[in-house]
Amino acid sequence: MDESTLLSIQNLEVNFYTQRGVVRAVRDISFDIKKGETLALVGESGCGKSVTAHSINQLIPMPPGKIDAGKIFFEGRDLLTLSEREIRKLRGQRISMIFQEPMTSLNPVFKVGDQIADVFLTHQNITKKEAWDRALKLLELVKIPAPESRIDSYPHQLSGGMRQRVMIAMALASPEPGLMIADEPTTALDVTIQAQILDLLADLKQEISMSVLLITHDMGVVAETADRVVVMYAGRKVEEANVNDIFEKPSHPYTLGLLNSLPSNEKYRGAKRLEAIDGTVPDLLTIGDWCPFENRCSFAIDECRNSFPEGTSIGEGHTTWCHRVEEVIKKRNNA
Amino acid sequence: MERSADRLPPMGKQLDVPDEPTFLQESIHQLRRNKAAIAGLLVIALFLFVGIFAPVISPHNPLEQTISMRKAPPFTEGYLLGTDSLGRDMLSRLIYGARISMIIGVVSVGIALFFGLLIGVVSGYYGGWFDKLVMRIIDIMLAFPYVLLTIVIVAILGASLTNAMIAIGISQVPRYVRLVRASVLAEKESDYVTAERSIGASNFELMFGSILPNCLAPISVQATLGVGEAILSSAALSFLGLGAQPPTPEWGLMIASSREFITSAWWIVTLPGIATLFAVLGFNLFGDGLRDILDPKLRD
Repeated sequence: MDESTLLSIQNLEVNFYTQRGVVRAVRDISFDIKKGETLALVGESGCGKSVTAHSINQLIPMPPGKIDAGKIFFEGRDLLTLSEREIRKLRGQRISMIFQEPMTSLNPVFKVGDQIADVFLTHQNITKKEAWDRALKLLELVKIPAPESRIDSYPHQLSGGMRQRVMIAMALASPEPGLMIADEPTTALDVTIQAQILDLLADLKQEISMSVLLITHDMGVVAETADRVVVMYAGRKVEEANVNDIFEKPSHPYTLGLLNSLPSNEKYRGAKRLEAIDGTVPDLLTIGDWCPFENRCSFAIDECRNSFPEGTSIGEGHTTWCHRVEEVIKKRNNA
Repeated sequence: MERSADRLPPMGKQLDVPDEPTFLQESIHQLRRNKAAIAGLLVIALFLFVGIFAPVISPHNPLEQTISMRKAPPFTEGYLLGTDSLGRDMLSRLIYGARISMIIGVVSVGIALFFGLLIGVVSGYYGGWFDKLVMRIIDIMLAFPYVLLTIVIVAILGASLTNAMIAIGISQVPRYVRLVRASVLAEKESDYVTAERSIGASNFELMFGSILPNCLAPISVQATLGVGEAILSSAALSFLGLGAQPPTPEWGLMIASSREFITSAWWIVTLPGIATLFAVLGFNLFGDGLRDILDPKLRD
């Protein structure tokens, strides 16, 4: 692992042992995040992207969840071998998180200023007054209007966009933010606020040089913010590439399907109907070891029902996991 | 990325955001709208005032017997509320009784709250075998009628006012454990708990720093009602001879020791009963009002 890598996930397997059986949520996921890079983890609901992200700072409920295999290196240390105490030190100090639901992710009975100041007080030896001052600076940083009076507000007095800004401020409340995990940060917000929040994240990333792991199902968000993209499907990584390659040279049938179902896709300029991917996601309880997309894929052949393919490198940092990659690329180029 | 700054609304100055009211201002505002709660609060305040300043405001020593003035009716000169069968001033005894009742109420509920919150939060947060064990013990305690349980504990500890407080406190523990556990179970799955865990909060901080404050609304209501009930229970215990011992001017004891005079000198029996009634009513009214005041989620 070279110096520029901040986080490296290697062959991660996460299973949930439920009463109905074993849910194979994350299977053999590997990827790296470089310092200052934004990596987007893309996929539909239930594909394991949140579980992957929550495995990093070990916030998945255990039990029933269990990380059965793999390594997660953060600055050279394997997080999975650390004690709960050491993990807790990293949380909020080097690895912070923002959540999907700004409406419920703040504690309703405390002022937002207290909640931000609390992060400082948890990790640093400073006075309440200093923590409060720094909280005010952060509220300014995340561009909340009139921060001097907003710092005294309770969460229910703020709008969704404002609360998400407060969440971001909390995630930044550390002396040396390293990795920010943004778990669908804009899903619950309307489109104009979404754009503001994404711009804010991009600005902040430049200002404090941190890495971002962005979890989303929105290809528009990906295009706007990400440097690299990992596409997940049913717990598997199916394609990984730079953001331009994902949009210009998608090489997995699922990625193609995702892009084809975007309303902003150029081929919908006429009054064509939106294309959807046929079928549904396989049940993770009964899923086999073959390619999970096989039942919905128009390229599928017998081979796809026998084994999960090896990765095929098709360009600089661009890999796809498909038995039929050549046919997919051919079809894409003809379209 | 220069476009982003322009897209955001202008900062601060043009926007006129009014100052947020403080928690206290807001609470007082809410309280004003609730007439019953104000009535309850006034009654509680009166009893607290009377209890604290008992030595100053009581006209006589509550234990001093004036044999020549036995069973004087109310409005007898020098004895506003009359005297009891031993010639002690009823008003002074009631005033000192208020002091005792307030202490009993607060101490018993304090004991119940301390253990109830501690056990309930830990039990609800961690679950598992500890939770199962605690819940079975609580079930056993709840299987006894409340008064019987209190009597059993007093019988074990011995009859005295202090032991009565301990007994009432212990008997009230189960309800707090249940209440707190249920609230914690509901709150611990909330997003804000995960969010606070993600910034490095420890289990202790999560339990008592972030989850418990969100459960305080139902607890404070229960605690206020509990004070009223504790006053009532101590009166009952003293009435049965298991609480305060003569000549302590405790309301329940005053009723018990004078019940044979109910036809001949009604005030000796009735006045302590009325005092108990008002004290309990005050706490009940205020407890109900408190529910609306303390829950920030119900505001605005």
